[in-house]
Amino acid sequence: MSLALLHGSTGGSFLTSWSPDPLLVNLLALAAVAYALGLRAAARRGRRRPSRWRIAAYYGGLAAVTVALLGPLDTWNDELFFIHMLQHLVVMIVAAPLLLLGRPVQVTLQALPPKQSSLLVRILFLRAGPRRAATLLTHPLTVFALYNLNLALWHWPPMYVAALESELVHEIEHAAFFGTALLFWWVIIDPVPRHHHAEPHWQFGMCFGTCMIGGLVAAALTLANRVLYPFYLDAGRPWGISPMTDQQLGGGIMWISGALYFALMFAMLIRMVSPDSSAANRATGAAPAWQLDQLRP
Amino acid sequence: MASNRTGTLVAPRGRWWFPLGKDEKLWFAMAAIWAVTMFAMIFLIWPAVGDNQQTFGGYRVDETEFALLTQQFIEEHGTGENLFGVPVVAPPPGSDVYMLATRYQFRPVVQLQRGETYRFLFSSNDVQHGFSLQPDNINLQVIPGYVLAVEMTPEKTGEYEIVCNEYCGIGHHLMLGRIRVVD
Amino acid sequence: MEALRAGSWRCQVTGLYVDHSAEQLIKFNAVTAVLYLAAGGLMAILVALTRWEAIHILDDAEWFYRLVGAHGTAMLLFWILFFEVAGLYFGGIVLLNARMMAPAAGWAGYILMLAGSLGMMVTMLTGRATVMFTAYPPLEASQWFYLSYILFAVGALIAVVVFLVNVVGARVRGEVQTLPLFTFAMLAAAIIALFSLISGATAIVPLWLKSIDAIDYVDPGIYRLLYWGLGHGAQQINLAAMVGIWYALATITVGTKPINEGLSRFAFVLYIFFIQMAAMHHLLVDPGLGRWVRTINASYFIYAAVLGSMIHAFTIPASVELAQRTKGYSRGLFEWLKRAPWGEPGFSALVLSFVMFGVMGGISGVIIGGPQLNMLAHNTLTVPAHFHMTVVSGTTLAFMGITYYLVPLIFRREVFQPKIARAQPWVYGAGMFIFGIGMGFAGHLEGVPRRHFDIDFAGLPMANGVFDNARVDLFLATMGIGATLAFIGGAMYVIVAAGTVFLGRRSEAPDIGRVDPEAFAVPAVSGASGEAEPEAHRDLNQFEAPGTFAIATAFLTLFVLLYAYSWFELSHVSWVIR
Repeated sequence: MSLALLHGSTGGSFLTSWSPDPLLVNLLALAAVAYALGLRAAARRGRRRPSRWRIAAYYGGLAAVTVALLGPLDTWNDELFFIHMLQHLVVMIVAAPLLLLGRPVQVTLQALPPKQSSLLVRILFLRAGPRRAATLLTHPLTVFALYNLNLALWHWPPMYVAALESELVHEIEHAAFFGTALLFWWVIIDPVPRHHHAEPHWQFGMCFGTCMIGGLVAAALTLANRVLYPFYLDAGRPWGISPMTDQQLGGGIMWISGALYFALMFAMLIRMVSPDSSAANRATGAAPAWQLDQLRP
Repeated sequence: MASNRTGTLVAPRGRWWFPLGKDEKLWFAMAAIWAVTMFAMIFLIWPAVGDNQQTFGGYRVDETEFALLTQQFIEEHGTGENLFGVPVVAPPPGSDVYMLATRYQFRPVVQLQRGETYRFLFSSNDVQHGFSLQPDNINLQVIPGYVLAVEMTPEKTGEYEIVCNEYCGIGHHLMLGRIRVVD
Repeated sequence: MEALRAGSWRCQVTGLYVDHSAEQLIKFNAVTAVLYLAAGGLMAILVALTRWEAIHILDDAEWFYRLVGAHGTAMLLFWILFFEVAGLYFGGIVLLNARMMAPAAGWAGYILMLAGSLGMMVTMLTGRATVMFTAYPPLEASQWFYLSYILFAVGALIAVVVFLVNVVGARVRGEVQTLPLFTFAMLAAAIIALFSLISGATAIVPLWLKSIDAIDYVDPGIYRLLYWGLGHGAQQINLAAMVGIWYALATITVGTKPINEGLSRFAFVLYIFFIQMAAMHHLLVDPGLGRWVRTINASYFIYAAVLGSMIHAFTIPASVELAQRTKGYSRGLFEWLKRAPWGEPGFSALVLSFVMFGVMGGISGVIIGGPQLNMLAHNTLTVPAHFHMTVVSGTTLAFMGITYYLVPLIFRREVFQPKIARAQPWVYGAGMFIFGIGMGFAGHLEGVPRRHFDIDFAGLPMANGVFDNARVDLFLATMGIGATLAFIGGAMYVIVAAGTVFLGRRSEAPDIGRVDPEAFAVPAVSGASGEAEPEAHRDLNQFEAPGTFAIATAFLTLFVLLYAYSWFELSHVSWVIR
């Protein structure tokens, strides 16, 4: 019974429709292999391995990207608005943070031989120009602005429809969402160098502001009196959902995803007041050994 | 905690001004962002996508003149029917609908077609009244000497009651009206 | 310290010098306030039990409408303003340890307020002014009603001016450099009162002139504009006074020092600058006002005033949290709150007032104050539900709380029945909470009109049973039950207050419960040198007040959800309106 439901007008079953894009498949495979190699190289150099849950997070993130960009969420995003919405949400608030929790940049720096890694560090962080640019780029306000302006931009009907009509624009859209999301979670989770880490107050503010802007977009979608993206009027109607319902569903999903940011804010507060929090460690100036090594010329 | 903070019932001494802590700055930013968000909702988002706007017009009018115009309107488009003593009017779609709030009724009773837009013109010939459309709960202020012009389009058929919700005298709680929407 | 001064006595509890004239004026204004509260309360219960359809205690529509108007006037104008005038004299003179300037003017103000208020009450109760306290023309009342209104406003204006003169005088004489935060709050209230009362006068004077046939016509639309210039400004007076009292109660019960004086004062300044312009939210569905005017006014300006309230919404609990954490209650997010003095009537009144004002009154106010959403609320019971949460649960409860400290001190008598005092905020608060839910749902979900004697419309068939359903009955019954409980709570307050004034045992050092010893004292810290010391152990990566942040964020979350839901409701109205 449920299998019948999962068959759409495109003729295929939802769960089994995959659209392997050669470039993406290669990139993902490369990312997976490089990480594994990096872990092995770092271990051989005597560095501490990231905890198992972090490694799992990284691969989980890759899996999420695969499902989102190569799997059912991609195939059906021409037919259903809310599927397209889910796709972007998986990329931005599932895949991106999971990937970063795996500390890929740190692993890369540890894996490279000392000559290469210190060269890399010298190029990126010891020259004034790139350093200042990096600091500006990772300032919470910049990150917040990029993330949210990008979000708002792609929901503006002309841009949204352009992405559906042109493959190239669609690729750019994915890259933009993924890129700004990576940057957003980068400064919140665990950046290198450490001082790019957004302070708790800034993190709080970023999450809140993102909720607000996302909320405005979601409100427009959920409460609109008409279909905002006429593209979907002519699309196939899998599962018999009307375009208006589809739009409201997408808006609703977007709204609920905002709850994640709120959960984060509260988690932050609770972590602040628990006695064994790493915040206390930070206050005393303790830092992991590997970090101090990297920044030494 | 050594500080220069003083209680609220005591005059602070010396330089009591110190810079905002991060907590206060963050909260202020959050409150300001929320205020801007609400403003964006009212000013940008809802006007773009919403169906119930607030773009009504207002005009000055002479009270007796408005009562006369309402009477003319009744005579022109009346169906001849009376609902509990109040004449029923069926104006053509797109036209002006005069509604007079008076002690103690809304006249006339209006019959509209679903999906069509009408321009309602509200006024009073005695005191202020409140036009309250139930069960959808749309509420407007009716002031003698002024006309409130509102474009309204019913989307569902049925009987809609009008209640007065601005105190207008001893019969205020007996003041009613009706709008009927048919296919 | 100075020697004992002639014309004042020294309070043995606080160390303050209380000027005799100020003392008398405070006493008279405070007692008058409580008497009006009692009268207004009696009228309230009659009105509420009439709107409770099942009881419908008043048979006579005329009396119902008279009492609605008289109740509103007795409470919103007289109880509140007489109490605030007492607060002005306290904050502007006693708290500054000053001699009172122009006491004769203070008495003139009181007499005018008294005469005006009595005149308004008599005309309203004898049916010569059944126009509600908003007195919208073309409704007409007797000339004595309008004259009394004007006299009352002039009396209040005089009291405000006396306060300002005294505060400025104390400053000029060098007796005070910076005002205590409480007095600063009263100053904000007084400044807002100045232009609100003047605006009100420009509205009411023409009505009086018309009633004596000196002029022919008062434009009803312009009247509304001028009146609400008084109207919402007047509410902001109450808001500023209430917030000042919150700070005072927090200091008295918990020993708080504001987390940032400058920020709190700035918030009061926001009130002063923006509330006048924001008054247009009463006129959002009126003819004659342009769309841009309404939008900008009801959003841009009111949000600036709301920002002021949001600041206090944070600084007050944050200050309490800081004070508690300093005392050692630092475990987890909320130990500071759990171990706060909930038994003190001042603290419970503070919290209940704060929560109901902010969550129920504030959120509802901002929502229904939006141009589009206002259409769903205007003149339904939603509007009085909003302001009963702000003024009646918020301001009134705060005033009740501070009474338990200031009345025994000023009258130098022991608190009458302190056990009743401790329970009173809870009883009253619970009653008002239930009342607010009932009234709010009746107005918001069912569209029940305000100021309405009979939602059965005497059985008229034209009504089509519009409000004839179980939900309406349930909500109005809830309202009635809440009103009854609140009435009991109010009676408890009147008993304690009047009992203390007339029956309390005389004492130079009355017991006012667990009060922070430094509440009224000069700080014994190096502040005299004028240097602001850096905060010790302030970890800049930590939240200073994480518990407050959690609460504040939860509040904001609720705000967002309710706000969003309101738009959702509007989008489901089956009429397109432009």
